[in-house]
Amino acid sequence: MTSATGEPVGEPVGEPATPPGTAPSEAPRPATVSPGAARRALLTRVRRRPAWPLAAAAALAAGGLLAIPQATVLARVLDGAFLHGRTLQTMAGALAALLLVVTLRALSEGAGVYAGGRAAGVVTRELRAELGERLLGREPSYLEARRTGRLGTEAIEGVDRVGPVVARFVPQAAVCAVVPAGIALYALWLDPLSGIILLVTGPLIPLFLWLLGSLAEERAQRQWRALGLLSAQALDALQALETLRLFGREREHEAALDRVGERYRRATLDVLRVAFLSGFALELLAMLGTAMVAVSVGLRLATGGIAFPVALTTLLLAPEFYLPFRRLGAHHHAGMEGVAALRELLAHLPSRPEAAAAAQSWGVPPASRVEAAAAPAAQPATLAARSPRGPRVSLHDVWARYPGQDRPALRGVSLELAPGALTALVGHSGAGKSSVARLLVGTLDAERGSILADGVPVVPARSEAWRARLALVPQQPHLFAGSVLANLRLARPAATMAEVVAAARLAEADAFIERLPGGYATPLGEDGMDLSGGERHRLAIARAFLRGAELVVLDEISAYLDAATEAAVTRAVTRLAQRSTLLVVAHRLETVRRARHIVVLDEGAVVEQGDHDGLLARGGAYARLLGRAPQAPSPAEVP
Amino acid sequence: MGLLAAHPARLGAAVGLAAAMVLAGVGLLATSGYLIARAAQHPDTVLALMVAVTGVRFFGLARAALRYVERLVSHDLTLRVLQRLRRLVYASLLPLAPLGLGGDRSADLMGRLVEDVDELQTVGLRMLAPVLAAVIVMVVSVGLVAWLDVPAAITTLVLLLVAGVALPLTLRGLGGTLGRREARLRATRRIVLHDAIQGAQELWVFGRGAAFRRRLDGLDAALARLGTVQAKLDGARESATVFLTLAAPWAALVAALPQASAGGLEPLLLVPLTLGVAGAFEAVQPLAEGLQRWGRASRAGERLEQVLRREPPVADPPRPRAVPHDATLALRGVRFGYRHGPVLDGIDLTLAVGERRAVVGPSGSGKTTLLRLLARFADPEAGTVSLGGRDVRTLRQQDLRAQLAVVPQRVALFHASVRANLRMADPGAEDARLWRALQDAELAEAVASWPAGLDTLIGEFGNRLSGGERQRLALARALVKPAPLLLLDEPTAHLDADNERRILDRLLEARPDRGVLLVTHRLVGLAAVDEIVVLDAGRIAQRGSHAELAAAPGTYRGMLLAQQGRLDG
Repeated sequence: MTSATGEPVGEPVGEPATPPGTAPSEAPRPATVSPGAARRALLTRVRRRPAWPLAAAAALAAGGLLAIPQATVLARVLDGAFLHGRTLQTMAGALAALLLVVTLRALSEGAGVYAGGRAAGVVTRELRAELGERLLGREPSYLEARRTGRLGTEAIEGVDRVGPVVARFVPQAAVCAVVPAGIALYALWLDPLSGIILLVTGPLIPLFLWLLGSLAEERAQRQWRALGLLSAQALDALQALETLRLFGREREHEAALDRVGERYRRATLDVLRVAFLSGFALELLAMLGTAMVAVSVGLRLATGGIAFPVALTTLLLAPEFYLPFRRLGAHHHAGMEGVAALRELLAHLPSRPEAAAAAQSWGVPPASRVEAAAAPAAQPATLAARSPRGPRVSLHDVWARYPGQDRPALRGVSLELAPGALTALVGHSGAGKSSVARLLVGTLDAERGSILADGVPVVPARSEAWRARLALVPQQPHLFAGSVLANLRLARPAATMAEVVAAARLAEADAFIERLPGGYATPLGEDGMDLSGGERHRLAIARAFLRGAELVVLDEISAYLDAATEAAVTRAVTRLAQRSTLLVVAHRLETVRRARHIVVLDEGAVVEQGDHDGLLARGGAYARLLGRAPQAPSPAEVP
Repeated sequence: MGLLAAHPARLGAAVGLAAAMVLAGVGLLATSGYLIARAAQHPDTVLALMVAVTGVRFFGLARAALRYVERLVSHDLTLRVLQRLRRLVYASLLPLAPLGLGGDRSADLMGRLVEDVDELQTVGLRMLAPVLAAVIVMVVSVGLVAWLDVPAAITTLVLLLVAGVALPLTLRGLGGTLGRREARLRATRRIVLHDAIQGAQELWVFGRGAAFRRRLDGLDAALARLGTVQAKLDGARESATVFLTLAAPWAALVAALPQASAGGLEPLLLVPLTLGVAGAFEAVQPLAEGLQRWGRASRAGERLEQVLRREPPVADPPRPRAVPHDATLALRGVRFGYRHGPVLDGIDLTLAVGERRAVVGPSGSGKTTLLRLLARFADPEAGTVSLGGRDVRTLRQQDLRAQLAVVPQRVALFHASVRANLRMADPGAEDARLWRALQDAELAEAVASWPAGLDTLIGEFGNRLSGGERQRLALARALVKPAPLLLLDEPTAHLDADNERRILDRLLEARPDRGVLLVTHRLVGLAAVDEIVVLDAGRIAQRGSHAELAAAPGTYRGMLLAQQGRLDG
């Protein structure tokens, strides 16, 4: 691949667009579904709501069969005009009948396409809803969501490609089973020899259609897709462009891209040459079949073995016999694409029972295991009224594990969060800090143990009533598409502007929001403005204020912030601690120093708790976690 | 469309073949009609029919063969055009990278570009040949009919024009409106879905999930309603097309019949005429469906052009000056900003051969931008960047960059051998030099252990490298480059502590023939650096040696504390 001039050849191998550690390649790709299974699944769906698909097939079949009266009447008219010298006036009736048949046929074909479109609409709507359910219909196991999010979005886009299969391919396949048979039988009755020609060539066609879908065509599809990938790759690697310019190799790379493209083109054409052969055979068969019927009836007509109208009708019907197959062949490409898209889709969809369970989980929590353990009476939660500085929240011997995992994530955790104070949760990554956080916000169920708020069991932790008292400040808060105002109001949709501004002030967010080009109306998210980590963090804190949350779970930002931002965040967090029970998943030494209480986790269990000085003095896990834990680092030991 | 014009012969062939294929169909129908009409007259000898029989067979075979060749030729054309398009996009994006592409949002832009190219090839490029072919078929078939009977030719022409021009144009208007509404709904849906997935935890905690799902349902319902309208449109199109195709022979017959009755037209010819007319409509059938999607393709083309026409942020001077011997890079009072507010402001910095400098600062403080200004991927809004006292705007970009060996933050390697990747920095480099560079980057051992050594292919189809190996390979590549100034952007972000120390120690060794600028947020190995410049929010907050900065209160000390105070390793 390298020439003497050392050109960089080949496609750039760019770094994944995501930051290291969250590379999409890590995402467990869902198991793929075989094409056969995908087709069966599609047919099952089509059969479940059969009205439109049946209507489509029936209308298209009617259109196809109307070719029989159409050919018969046309043959009669031509017979009259040509052999019997009849005029326009004397054939007005027949001509009117012909126009009527033609109109009927056009209407049936149109109705078939319309019904096909509706059938596709039904199936795609269902698929979209199921996928939406799958991706959004449960409590967020957000780690999973982050990884599969992109894949999921793509799968939903893929639904669009399933449409044409249902709209065109499936009804056309049904038509192929009916119309050619009908025409062939009619031809057999009309002129046995022609009927036999059709019946002999007919069955060969499905064979070619099968060949069309076999090896060569599949290879062609792959090659074609690879080509699409090539263009994506060529355009995708932005960082590659920067590197090329830095090394002054942009022209050489252009030439290399050309060569790669040329190679792909040749390879693709080689494959297509073979792949198109089956299409060629199909077409050839249809043409030769028509020609054979024409020649056969022509020669017999010359010797008087057959009447002209019969001969002409048969001739007119021959192409109509092959038409459904040729149409099916034309939809073949869309069919293949749709099945490929469906295979991706199905990999994301749960099996039936699971789907039913998921459908219920929105806002209607399944019976929590905590409920069984802590509140045998299982009465509706008698949650304490809002406490002015937040509730005293305690965990008693809580065990929890993630679905599908053997190892428990939390092993008998007991801790207490004091009202109006900051409790810091520390530990190595994987020690169970976020599991405790998720337990409190109800995205992880306790297997054993209880959660109490002011002594009253939280029943269940995933209930709306409990969540109404909470706020969460994630490390990387998501910016929703919409204004700053709308992003803040997410926490309380009914909040007045004055309340929103007050919350933003408390969170030290007001100042930077006012500086944005549109102030509180500045659009954020996809097509809007991006905010820095520190700004996002304060926005999420403002949400917590706006919500008037009694318990706030805050995942501290771990990136280094500039001094001014750091100070602002600290002030905001301090204010938050004054008016609510605050649990901070801590990453910074400064925060734990200020914490009223520190809980040290390791391997899913609490190993130490206390305040900073006391814990440090003990020289245990906390001191080890802080490493050398100096009061202030001496310059020499740092680098 | 200019892209298609670049292959006139192939476009001509594709058009000619497509037209010939349809005309062969016409021929097949007309000759078979003639054949049986003539046969019905019971000619004295069967020989009288042989010409028609041969015609039928010929047109039947020709049609199948022509279709095969036409498909190959038109696919070949599409492939070639696509290649050209890709090249054009590459050539236009190159001078824009990396700063002229919208910074953080560049991934979205690229995604849209790929989609647009796709749309153009699937719809736009595959439409032109059929349109031209339809014109040819119309002219030829109407001409043939006119040769037999003028009134029939007129009805045929009118119906062909309705099916090939009026209907597609009407549908284009209707379909265009529909398409725009659909595109808007889809875009909204994508954004809502993205928010619902990425913001799942917020939605859950704030109890807003159900509201979002209702919004999605609403959008789905709206899309479904549009789908119903689209289905109606499709159905109407199909009805109209089928009706016109089947009504044309009827109309031709009605038009020609009086002539035949009056003896102006041989009645026998009514049969081939009627049959042949229907065949011609095959050429205009794809136009209606194609034009319905034309709007989408042309919008894709417009968007593409917008990107392709973007002004590159920097350009070479008309008369570049020679590169000075003194390779001292200097920034004086540099200000630069994209997005809102300045990213860099009041930056003074020099780097001479033999010097070692570091630029540190929290993420988002403008470090990477600074490096990009040095490589002249953009010009500062105020202040100057100079090399050996000459403003870099007076130099050729390539000459400037030849003086710099840069390891960018985002490493890009190429799907080729290790050797080819390294030689990118210096095409003439011998293996010994490559190995030395690999050693300096602590990668020599690993490469030597790979079965093919320097010939090992890296990338998707070859050896997959770990993040650390990629970074060290990129480092080695920069070291191969015979440039006096080495600029490193977070060169050790993916390395373990041991490798990080060893590599930095080696890179930061004092060398009289090389100047090193290290840009980093990790405060490791900086005791060896002559001067550290601390950036905070785009301004120089502090400068001095490691010892000085670590002792004084300020950003640097804050970063040191933060680095030590991390509680979860």
